[in-house]
Amino acid sequence: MAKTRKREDSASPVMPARIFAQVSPRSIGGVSLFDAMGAVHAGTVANFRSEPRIIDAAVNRLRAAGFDVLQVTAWTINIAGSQETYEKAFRTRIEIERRTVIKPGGVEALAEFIECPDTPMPGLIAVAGTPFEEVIEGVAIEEPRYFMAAAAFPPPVPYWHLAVPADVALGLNAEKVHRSGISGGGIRVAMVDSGQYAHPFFAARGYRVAPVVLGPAAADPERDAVGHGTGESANIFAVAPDAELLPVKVNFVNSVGAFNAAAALDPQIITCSWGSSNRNGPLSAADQALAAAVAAAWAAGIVVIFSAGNGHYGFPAQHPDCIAAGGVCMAQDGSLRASDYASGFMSGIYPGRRVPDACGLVGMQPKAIYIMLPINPGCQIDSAYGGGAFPSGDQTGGDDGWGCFSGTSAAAPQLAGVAALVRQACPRLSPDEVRDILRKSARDVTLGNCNPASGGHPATAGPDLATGDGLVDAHKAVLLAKLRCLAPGPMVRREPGLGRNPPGAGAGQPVPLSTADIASIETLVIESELDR
Amino acid sequence: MPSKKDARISAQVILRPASGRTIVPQTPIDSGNLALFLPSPAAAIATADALRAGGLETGPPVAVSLSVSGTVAAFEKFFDAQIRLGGDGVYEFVREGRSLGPELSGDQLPTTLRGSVQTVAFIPPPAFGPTDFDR
Repeated sequence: MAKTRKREDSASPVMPARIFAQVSPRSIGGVSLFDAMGAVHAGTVANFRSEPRIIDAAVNRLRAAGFDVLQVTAWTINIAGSQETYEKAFRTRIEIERRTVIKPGGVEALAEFIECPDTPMPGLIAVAGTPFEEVIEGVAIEEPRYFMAAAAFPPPVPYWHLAVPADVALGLNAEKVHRSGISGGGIRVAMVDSGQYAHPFFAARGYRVAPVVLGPAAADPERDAVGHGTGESANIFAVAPDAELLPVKVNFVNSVGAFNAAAALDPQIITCSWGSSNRNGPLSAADQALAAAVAAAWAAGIVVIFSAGNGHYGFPAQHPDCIAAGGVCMAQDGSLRASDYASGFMSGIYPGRRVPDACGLVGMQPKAIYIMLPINPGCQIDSAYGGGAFPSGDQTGGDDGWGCFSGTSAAAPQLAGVAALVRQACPRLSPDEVRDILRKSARDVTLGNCNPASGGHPATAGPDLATGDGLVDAHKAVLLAKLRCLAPGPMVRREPGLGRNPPGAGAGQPVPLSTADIASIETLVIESELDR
Repeated sequence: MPSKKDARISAQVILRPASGRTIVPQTPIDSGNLALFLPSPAAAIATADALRAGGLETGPPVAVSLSVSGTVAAFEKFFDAQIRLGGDGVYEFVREGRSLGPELSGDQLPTTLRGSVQTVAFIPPPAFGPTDFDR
């Protein structure tokens, strides 16, 4: 009886040069392995063994027919040969059939199966009427097989890198904050990127990830073909493990529309690890639409964070209504230097606008291979970085669901994590105040230079173009946020004439702290030994 | 080479400011001047209605713009232009064999949009970020 399964595609794909199969020599129990259906189990498998003389005879005939015999067991013989060899030996024909399967990453796609149309069982070649009939029951052609899920644990690699969540949390001084009960709870962080794959890294830790929202013309909400969004989002959870991630998948024909979709979710924070490069303008109509959307989000109280670029003059990072995220590299001994992969520049579009504001943890040239991040198996990053030797490749598998990368794409979600902690500590802070806190509390970096393609500016004592105010410090940032919550009003735009004794405060009554008091305490915090 | 007609694409529709001003490259928009460039809510609604009536989908209006999405075929019908993918990876409008670039404005726009829309623009892909690995 011939197969009647529906073929998915009538195009004629190329038959592989070597086709692999398992041959079953005649079983001692008298029932063919291929007739047993579900009856092969530990209690019956002995019935499907073959006598050594039968196995030897089968091996000899297969070799004589031109097959390579790769492995011989008591049950099966593994062979390889060309299409012509199979068709001639077994007096049949074989062809390729495309069927829908689930590939790595949960992606439904077509796969090519080699089939013999003369038998009803998928992948089976019958041998009746051939010289093999006496010694062989049948031939099972190998099928495509896929790794179905990545591991929750990253693979070991023999070079210095950071792991998520622990190393990134430690590097940004977030662990102390977590132990104080501030971990991003109640804060919604929207991330506009390539999508969000349900990697076990996230599920195993119980991170809160909302269903993917599709940006304009985007599709496949379960899929992240690049791996960028999935991987970089782990940086958010490393710093703010109890924040809720709102992934917005962008189709790269309309990043502006995707940003707007994120803004429409009304999150407290939007983080974007992408941008264009625009040194001196002018701004296109599309740029202006994005500039206006960023400004509107900021004015509505949403903290907006953009990556500064990796040698680019990042836009919208240079927009005045966002936090521009640059890069600092932390060595194994904890020392800090400006990342020569990350951008730093003075905007030629917005006078006086320095990029970056502050930095996250970013690796060095040539590829910033630095943070081991979870991605969907076989995605673009997995295959692009997998296999090669460090520092050109990440020395992980090309389909193992892990990739070591960073860039300012990693810095933006790290800053988003710190902003989430700050907003939890003091929800009433405006985006201007959150940025001010991240900058004031950052650890100054005085070594290294930013990416030469954006000017190669040196890191110096105090704010500079290489690292802005330095590497963000979650612990100090949250302390400052708590202090700000004690202040009577906003502290970024200070109101003149606010005295120590407000009207109505008489003798013997508690006197609230003034903005000047808070500013003085902030100075003490910033200059303190608290984080040492 | 013409794009596949069933491919889904998207562009950004930039609305005319209610103030009567024009959004120009020389005046970058930020939170300090945003109010000068905001459209009237009625114009945003009318624009979205016109696009949807033409078989296209629209996103939420945010600040000065809203997204429009649909198949290449639907875009070509509504905007009375061929849509093709340019060499720089950005879609562009083509009329009578001549490229109009990635933006339509003024008289190039369908008459139903001219009163409320300043520009319809296809967006270039990001220069860095997820696109770094697209090979």
